[in-house]
Amino acid sequence: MKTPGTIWDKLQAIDRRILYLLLLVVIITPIFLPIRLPTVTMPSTQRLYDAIESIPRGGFVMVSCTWSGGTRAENMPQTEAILRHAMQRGLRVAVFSFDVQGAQLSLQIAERVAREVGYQYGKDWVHLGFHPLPSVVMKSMVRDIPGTFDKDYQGKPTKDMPVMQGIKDIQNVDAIVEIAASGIYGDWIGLVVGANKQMKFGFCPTSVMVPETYPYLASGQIVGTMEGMRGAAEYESLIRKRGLASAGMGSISLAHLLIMALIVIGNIGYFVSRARRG
Amino acid sequence: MWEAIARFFGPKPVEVVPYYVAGAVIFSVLVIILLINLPSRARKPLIATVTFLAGLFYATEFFLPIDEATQKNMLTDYLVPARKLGSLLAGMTLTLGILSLVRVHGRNIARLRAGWYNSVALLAAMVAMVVFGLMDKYSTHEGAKRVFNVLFEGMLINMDATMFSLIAFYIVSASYRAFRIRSVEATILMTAAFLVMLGQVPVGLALTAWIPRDSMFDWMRLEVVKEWLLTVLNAAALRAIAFGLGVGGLAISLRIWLSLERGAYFEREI
Repeated sequence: MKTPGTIWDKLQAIDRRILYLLLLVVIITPIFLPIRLPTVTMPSTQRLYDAIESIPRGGFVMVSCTWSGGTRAENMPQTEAILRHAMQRGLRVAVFSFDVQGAQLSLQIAERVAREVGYQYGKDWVHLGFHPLPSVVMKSMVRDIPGTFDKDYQGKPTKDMPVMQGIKDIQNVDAIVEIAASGIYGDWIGLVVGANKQMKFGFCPTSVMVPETYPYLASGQIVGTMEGMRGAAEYESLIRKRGLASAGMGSISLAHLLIMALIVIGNIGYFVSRARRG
Repeated sequence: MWEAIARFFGPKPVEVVPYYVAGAVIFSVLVIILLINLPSRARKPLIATVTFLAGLFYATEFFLPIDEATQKNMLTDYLVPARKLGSLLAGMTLTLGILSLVRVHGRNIARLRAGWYNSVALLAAMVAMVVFGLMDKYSTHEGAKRVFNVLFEGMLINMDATMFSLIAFYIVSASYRAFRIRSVEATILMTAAFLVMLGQVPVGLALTAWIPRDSMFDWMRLEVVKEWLLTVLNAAALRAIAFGLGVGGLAISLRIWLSLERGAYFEREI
């Protein structure tokens, strides 16, 4: 590789190890030296919050956690925020996952939040475990929820649990919230959402997934979203319980600023060296 | 006949479950042996028939009118058994995957091929996870539960997160090197990217937080600009892409359902 000559050439070819180190520093520093930043709630987050708020006490909410360790930084605060909100509101909650890791991780989060809120397993909430083949499960739950989720994560029958009383099919579900790192919302919209016009469908994707959800937000098929870690921070602010996402906002902000600064530096070097060459 | 089948596959008393499990295993092994030894001329029509019937079930259930009183049609009650059958098939495919993995990496180890120790690590990790995972679920041994906890939470999830977070470092390096304003299009793209990025994080939003909401300059707030870019310009393009994908998906689904699809998977002899 040709060695850069002038300072302007060097600005265009900063060693990648320096870039990695800079990123590491801007991510780690705010964790130890927290930066207090104002939170502006996006309309999509507000809509999801309002949707959960509008469900009467005792309503039935299903929370699907289709994520794994790779996206824990974003999906874990989302899961915690939505479960905390639903449990604080006194809603009946059923958690399940289409991902093996997601089943285990969501169980831990739900158990912790339930303990804090004073929710009783089987009476107020249930974990329905891991279920493979999402589209097949969705198709089946539209018509028969007790049959589709006949056992909880421990293999205990769900039909006698107070939390599942009166739940026959999708018509008895007030809201479904999918927390995912994939485009699974398409399956929900295609197979489930239209089957109960009153039901609210919320989606909590990772940040990179957000842009593709906007057409469905506009159509109302997705009632609201929690957009990655920032969305989770906004939701934490709405439920007045600052957590992991709020703590991570400093790192996320600085990382974004670093990327923009580096792009600007690279372009300054590019323009000046091009002007000098004539 | 359907009732007899439903009775046969329905819940059984605990004392007879082991016999049913043993019977199911023997039956499955026999079916697999039969399928493996079936000539490919017979296997292809068999796969095509099963694929068509499976697709036909869901398509028919979807299109058949439902009874207003019961909210069901004649096939609705079979959705749950079909889901359970699907779960069983998923379990079987997992078994096939494990068998294939053991065969490939076992051969690597037996012949001491380059990187054979990676294969040892992979198989050892897989066996450890299966053994301690089962012990965590079915045994009361505290030590085994602790080991599983270390394997799953201490290692697997963190390694998964580590691999995923590496993307951030590559994105920084790639965006720094690739984002050069060489044309009008690149300038528009970068301006839009900057606005969305700033509108995405609190530090960016703080820049325009001083502009009063509901004032005539409200549209200059970064979150409003970002929302407009994403919900108007971006969403329009995404709708077009989604529409194309939908039509394409429908065509591909029909071709797979009717076993018309040709290509790497479908033409090779299996």
